[in-house]
Amino acid sequence: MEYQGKELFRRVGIATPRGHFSRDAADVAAFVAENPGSWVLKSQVLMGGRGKAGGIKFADTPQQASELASELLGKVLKNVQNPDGERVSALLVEEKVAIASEAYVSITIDRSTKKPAVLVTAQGGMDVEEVAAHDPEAISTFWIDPAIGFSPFIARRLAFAAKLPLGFHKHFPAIVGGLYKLFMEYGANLVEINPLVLTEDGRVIASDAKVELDDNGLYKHPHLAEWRNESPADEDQEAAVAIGLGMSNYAKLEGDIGVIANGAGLGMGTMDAIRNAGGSAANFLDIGGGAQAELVKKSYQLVVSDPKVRALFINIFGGITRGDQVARGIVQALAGDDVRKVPLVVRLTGTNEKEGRAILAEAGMNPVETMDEGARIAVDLARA
Amino acid sequence: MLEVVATTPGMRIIGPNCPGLVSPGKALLGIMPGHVFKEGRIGVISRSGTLTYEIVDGLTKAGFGQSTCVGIGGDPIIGTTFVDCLKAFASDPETDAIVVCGEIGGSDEEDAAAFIAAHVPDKPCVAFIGGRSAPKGKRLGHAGAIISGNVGTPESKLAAFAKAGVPVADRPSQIPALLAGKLGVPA
Repeated sequence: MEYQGKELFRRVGIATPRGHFSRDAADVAAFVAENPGSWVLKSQVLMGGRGKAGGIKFADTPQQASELASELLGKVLKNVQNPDGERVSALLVEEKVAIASEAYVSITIDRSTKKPAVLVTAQGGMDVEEVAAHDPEAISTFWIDPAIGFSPFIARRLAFAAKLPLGFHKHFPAIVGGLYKLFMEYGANLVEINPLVLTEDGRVIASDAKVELDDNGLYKHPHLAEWRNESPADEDQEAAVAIGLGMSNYAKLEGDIGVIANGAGLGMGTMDAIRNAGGSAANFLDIGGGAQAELVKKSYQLVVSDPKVRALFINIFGGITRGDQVARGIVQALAGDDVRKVPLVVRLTGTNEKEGRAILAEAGMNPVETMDEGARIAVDLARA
Repeated sequence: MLEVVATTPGMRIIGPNCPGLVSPGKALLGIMPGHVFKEGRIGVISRSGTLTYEIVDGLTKAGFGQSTCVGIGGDPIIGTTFVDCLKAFASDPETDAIVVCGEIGGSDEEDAAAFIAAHVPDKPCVAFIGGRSAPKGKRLGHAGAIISGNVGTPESKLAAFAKAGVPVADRPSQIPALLAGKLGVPA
């Protein structure tokens, strides 16, 4: 969220407005009482467009601050992009700055050039995708070669190319340099300042902050994991991590046929096969490579814990995943009394296929030969 | 940084997050299960590991052996792309036809289709795209397999392959028949 992004910004020397983080209206009022002046109350949410959704308010007195903070805390912000809305549980109280000019700067990974791209436009405070659609020339881009790294000339060149007002120029190299440091050190997918504000008294400060970290790199920064817990969590990701899977290895979907596969590509292929057979997958679950019986068992339990699941298709093509381990996991999962049993189709091919099939046969199960056949049977079972 | 190594003459990075590559009967670099592969004249390029096994198993059973199979990896940034592999297969005297196994996310499939249309006129190509039933915005196991906005959609990839004259199989099991059709041999 914004306050966390700004915390990271300050660590790399990017100026942010004076501010106070709070979850309590009385505390907000006390802060404004101690620091007289004009303050902005900003709802801390992950969704975009919070201003238009009524999530930002202005207060000049402690009483006003108290009233507005009580109104915002607990409110559910909604807009077109987020029809379900998001509940406000914290506020950032910030100094109201006198704005002379607004700009936009971000760094993101460009897949095609395989390099971090710095994007700058003088049209700050707007939706940058809209700027890109209507006035693409207004956006200046520089691709940083990660082997060489950031150099101040990059920022100077961008400031001129994007025609930023001169007041920005002196500070710009330090800001882009800080953003790049943040981007690389924390393994971010995106760092964005929108708007970057030039104040009437000549300061350049990050008025908003957006930092999208790569979940796969979070383990390198355990202190950031705490922040994660404060945010509305993705239940699927938590469930996946809880049983020892990668966080993007499980995702609930709309249909009624559970899917367990080894490998993301085969998992997606299995979902597609179910759709081709006239059904619809209830989830995506990739047990990864080299899964042991225990993980297979827990994966089974996770999938059937979703009440939508009416049938389950386990599709394994083993490379480093061993068929005997998978088969043992399935047998163990079914042996539990406390686990919901759903009609099950298993396809087991590849490494240790024979051993796996023997284990399943002993438990009275007869695996199918192909993915298409398995998908067809699963669809029939779900309908039965 | 890896890119510096990768562009050093004589070096190539495959992956990350990939099963490696195999030239059946010659060499295996990586973790692919050797027994599903068979020597032959089809080149296979894939973003997925296990889906490669699935497709190759089908090819082998249908009598299409493979010259080389490359799992290029499912991450957003990879050392060797479809186009890099297509370049190599285009000039490989041991490869008669190519199977491109893509998936949702990114624009590598679109690049591959454009490259095939422009530079691989004489070797038949067949494609598959995994994750066509996936909803937008969900990351399904592969970091690269996420549809954001209109970039990476299956529709865009299907259109690109159609434009390049490359048939796209609806399921892996259809690939051998499509190849046979393209090569003018019985499946």
